[in-house]
Amino acid sequence: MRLPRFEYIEPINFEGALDLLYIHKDNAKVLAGGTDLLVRMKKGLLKPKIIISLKALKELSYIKKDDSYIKIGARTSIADIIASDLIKKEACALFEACEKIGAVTIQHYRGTIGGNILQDNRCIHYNQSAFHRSGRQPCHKDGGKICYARDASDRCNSTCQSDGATALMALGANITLVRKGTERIIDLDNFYTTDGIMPFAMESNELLKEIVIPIQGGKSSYKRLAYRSAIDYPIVSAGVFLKSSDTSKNEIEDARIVVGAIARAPIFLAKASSFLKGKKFNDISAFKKAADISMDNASTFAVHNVGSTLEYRCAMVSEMVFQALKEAAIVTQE
Amino acid sequence: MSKSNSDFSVVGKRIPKLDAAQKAMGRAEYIQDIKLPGMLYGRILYSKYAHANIVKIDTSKAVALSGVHAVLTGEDVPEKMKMGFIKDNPPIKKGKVCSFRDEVAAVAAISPEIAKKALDLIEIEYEEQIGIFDPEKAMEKDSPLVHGHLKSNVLKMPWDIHYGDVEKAEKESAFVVEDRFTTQWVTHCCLGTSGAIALFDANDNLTIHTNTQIPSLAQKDFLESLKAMGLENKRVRVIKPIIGGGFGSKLDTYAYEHIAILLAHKCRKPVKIAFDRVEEFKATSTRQPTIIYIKQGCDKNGKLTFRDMRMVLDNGAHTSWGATTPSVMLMPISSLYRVENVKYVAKCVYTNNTYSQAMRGYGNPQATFAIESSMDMLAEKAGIDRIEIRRINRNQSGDETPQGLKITTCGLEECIDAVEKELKFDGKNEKGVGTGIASLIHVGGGARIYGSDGCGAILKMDDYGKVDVFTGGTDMGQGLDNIIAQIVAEELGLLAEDINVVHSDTDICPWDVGAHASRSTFVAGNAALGAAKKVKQKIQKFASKLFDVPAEKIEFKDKLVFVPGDQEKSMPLGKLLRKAHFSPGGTMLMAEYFYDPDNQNMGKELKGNMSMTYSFGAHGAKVKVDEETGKVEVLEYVAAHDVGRAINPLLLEGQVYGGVVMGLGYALTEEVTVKDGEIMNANFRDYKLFTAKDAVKIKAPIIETDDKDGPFGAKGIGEPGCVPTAPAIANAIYDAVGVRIKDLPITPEKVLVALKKKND
Ligand SMILES: Cc1cc2nc3c(=O)[nH]c(=O)nc-3n(C[C@H](O)[C@H](O)[C@H](O)COP(=O)(O)OP(=O)(O)OC[C@H]3O[C@@H](n4cnc5c(N)ncnc54)[C@H](O)[C@@H]3O)c2cc1C
Ligand code: SF4
Repeated sequence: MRLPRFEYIEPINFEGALDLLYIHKDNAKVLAGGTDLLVRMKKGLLKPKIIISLKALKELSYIKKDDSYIKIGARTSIADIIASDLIKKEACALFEACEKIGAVTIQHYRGTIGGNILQDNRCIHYNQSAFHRSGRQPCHKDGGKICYARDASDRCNSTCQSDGATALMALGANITLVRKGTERIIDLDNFYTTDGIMPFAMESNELLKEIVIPIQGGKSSYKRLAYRSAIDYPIVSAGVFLKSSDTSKNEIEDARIVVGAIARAPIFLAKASSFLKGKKFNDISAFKKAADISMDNASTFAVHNVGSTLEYRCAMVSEMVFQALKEAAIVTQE
Repeated sequence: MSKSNSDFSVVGKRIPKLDAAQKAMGRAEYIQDIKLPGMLYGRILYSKYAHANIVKIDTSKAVALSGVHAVLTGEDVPEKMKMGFIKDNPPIKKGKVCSFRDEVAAVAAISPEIAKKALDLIEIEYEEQIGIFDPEKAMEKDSPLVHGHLKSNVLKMPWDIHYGDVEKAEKESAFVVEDRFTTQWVTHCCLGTSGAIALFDANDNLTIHTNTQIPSLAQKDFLESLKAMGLENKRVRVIKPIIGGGFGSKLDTYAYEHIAILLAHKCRKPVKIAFDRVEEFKATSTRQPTIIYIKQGCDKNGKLTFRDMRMVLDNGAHTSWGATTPSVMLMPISSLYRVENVKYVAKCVYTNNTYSQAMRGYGNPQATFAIESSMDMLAEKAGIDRIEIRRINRNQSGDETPQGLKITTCGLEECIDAVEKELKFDGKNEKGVGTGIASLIHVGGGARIYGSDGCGAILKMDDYGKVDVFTGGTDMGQGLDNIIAQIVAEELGLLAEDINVVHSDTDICPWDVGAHASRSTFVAGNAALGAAKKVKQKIQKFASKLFDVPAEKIEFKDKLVFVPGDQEKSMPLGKLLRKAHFSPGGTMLMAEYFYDPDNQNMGKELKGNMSMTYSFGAHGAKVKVDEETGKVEVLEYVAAHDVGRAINPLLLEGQVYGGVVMGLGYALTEEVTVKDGEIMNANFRDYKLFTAKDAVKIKAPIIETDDKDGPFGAKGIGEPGCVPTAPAIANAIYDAVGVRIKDLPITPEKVLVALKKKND
């Protein structure tokens, strides 16, 4: 499998990159580490005419504390995030998620956090070689009118398997998107659409600049399930955030439960989250209940298209949420 | 008296692979690296259906594309050009396709890109037919036929065997267990993908560079293809580049090799076909998947009374060696543990799936999975400890099994002991943790599958005390070169690095039936040893004149030829060789040897001692089962093997580690997922081969039984590492959480479903 032909441009600064995106729009694709983009290009899933590389934009690579926020540059490598004490302390779920991404070789210097949360949705019927796909009608995501994953579905049900996205959503992160002349900030909750073909609300001329995580004094955790210990996307995952109330340390004031790798986007489970408010940190049965509510709510969105059986993945939503809650609760107690 | 390792100076030593630096530095030449002047690039177009008639093929646009030299379809393939041992598989299909991997056209062009483009321009109209993908359904009377010209989907195969009296033994048994097991498609995952370059000289003699484990038999296949092409009495030269892994995958010739030949002949230029990873997954063969029914029993003391096994093998659409794996399955079925009454029926059934091939263990892992799982079930039913039941029934030196296998040396008991020493089998592990054991028998002294089980060696001394050994054997990464070097060096008092092993070229190397059946150390080793002994005698004869002593007084050590106790009578081997070459009436020191073991072909009766000796082993696993997710973690693994003698313990351990990790993938994660005949996970992301991070710590105790027929006592050990892994894991899971998984791979969801069922 070879890459299709493209023109490669390496802007030397952020403004230069914005200019290029302004000019080329849909014809261009941004390349960060390329570990998602190039694989899709090799399969012929997309054929951008122009590649705008962020290679020279070192200014987009940072992790810093600014007041009560952690700010991460879009081009920061997964390895840098894993190595950061700040992240480990204040955004443990992100640390745990990054640790599981691909393998050392992907985390190392290639894979970036920006690329991670902007990676395309996946589906076993879609992420196949050009030859495999050529033998049949194209599906929705491939420009056609059918879906192989769900019979008679009028839209694409591909799955968001980004580890980073699920963890960051649990942490209540927002992102800064920039286009020539303007900048906007959007919560991850609102950023992910439920459209399998275009999974996020982003324009082709926009560049992701920064990810911002509020430091809220709570504890977070991320759990995922995969067959192997490395080079394996999650088949289900959960990110949770728990915060104790100022008055009573043993009482949950705020909770966020997000499950990933099960639907078109990471799902913030409002009902399960609010159920935990006011519960005690050592109330294991409340965690179990919240986990079961999570499973019930998430299952309706689940699609059988990233391996394993659907029954199993749905059952595991509850288990991953439960494990994550337990872990977050334990660290909170410590 | 048997020798101990301290009696040797090279044998038994941990000598790193002689080609390690070459490979680590990227200097080794694989097929991908080879470019010949004027070479064209071939590519193959595969079917888009599992089962369809080809109504029309239009290649005109591809032919017209600039840079394209040839386009072939089934119409261009000579009628008699067919592959596989029952010759049911033409390299390009005509009129009809029976599986997704069926070749429908091929092109040769000046670049891989143009070749690819040309394929895209070939227009084919198909008429889809009903596909049949379940072998048990394919056996039913009114099933659609995969090959319309045949009466049934069931192949004519001889596997219907009965030793002793199973019915009677069953009646007399105190305990009987019965169950159904299934095993999946897995594939070899060689890191070096397949490829070949074919070229013809002006007289239509063929040279083919190809990744093969069977240079001599491949030569025969290619000669037959030439004959089918009307090229009689031609020469075929098979050159092997460095091979990046075989594991059985290169034991047959493939369509791409024959297509390269057709294209090269048509274009009068060298043509290379090299697979990418997707093609490697889709167009090379898998391990034979099986459906296994097993029933076995014991008396009240735990002594096995009978074993009754029935199997259905999914043959796929065409036939390769996968269909003959019952011949090796028969070995554990009839001879793993002492059991007098044995019945075995196997049926191979055509389906529209991919076809299978040889793969490390050749059927043995499938059969052993059922046998060893069932042994634990029987032990439980009879109320006997699972180690004890294995001890009671263990094979022993001097046994002859119902199949007629003669067990010369047997270290099975020591292997079981070694596993028991490392792991606890008292059922007192912490919650969710358990141990399991499973044993193995495998051919360790060649295997007479064909009329011959022979291998030749030619040994040539140079002027300086170095040796070239030309062997028929094949090194494909497993380290045969080292083993031969160590054997020859030991015999001639040299160092391993003094020996250059050449195995790459049928124009130079002698004949051999191939690198299969764990036979290379034993057979190619014995051939090299035979040649070394012959040359040694010649040198002794020459030196005896020089030193004026009887030839048998002369010894070899530390590169010297000498008479012990007489300091005057000693000379560096190099100097002696130069004397031989330079003295009047000089002599050249060279020898050849053909070793064909005294083993038996099974013949019509399906009985006979197929190997000179048998390797044994016992594997033990300690696992932890997460009862919430069903995930199995392997905590410890012990793989003890009776290897006769470890010529090189370092390579031997490597072979065992590699085998075990392959076996663990088989047990837990690996599966070629097939949806209506189509492979859905043709990449390493979705095909769950164990990664370095998944690998577990393995202890590999070596039991040496010094086999009288092996070179320096060695037995073959290429395959056993992956044979009893799956049942060891399955048994450990049962010990841990009380569920028995009978279908491989043992995925978390299967464990969880079973746990739920148990707890409900
Ligand atoms: C073998 C393998 C295993 C993997 N396993 C995992 C896994 O377990 N979990 C997981 O989450 N991911 C996994 N991945 C996916 C991927 O490697 C990671 O998500 C990685 O972090 C992506 O980062 P990147 O910089 O390489 O992205 P790229 O491929 O460079 O970019 C991904 C997408 O984001 C866009 N993009 C990137 N940066 C910007 C920006 N600043 N502004 C606008 N658009 C941008 C690109 O145009 C592209 O569409 C795996 C990939 C491989 C090849
Ligand atoms: S979910 Fe359906 S439409 Fe979307 S990628 Fe998969 S098969 Fe295509």
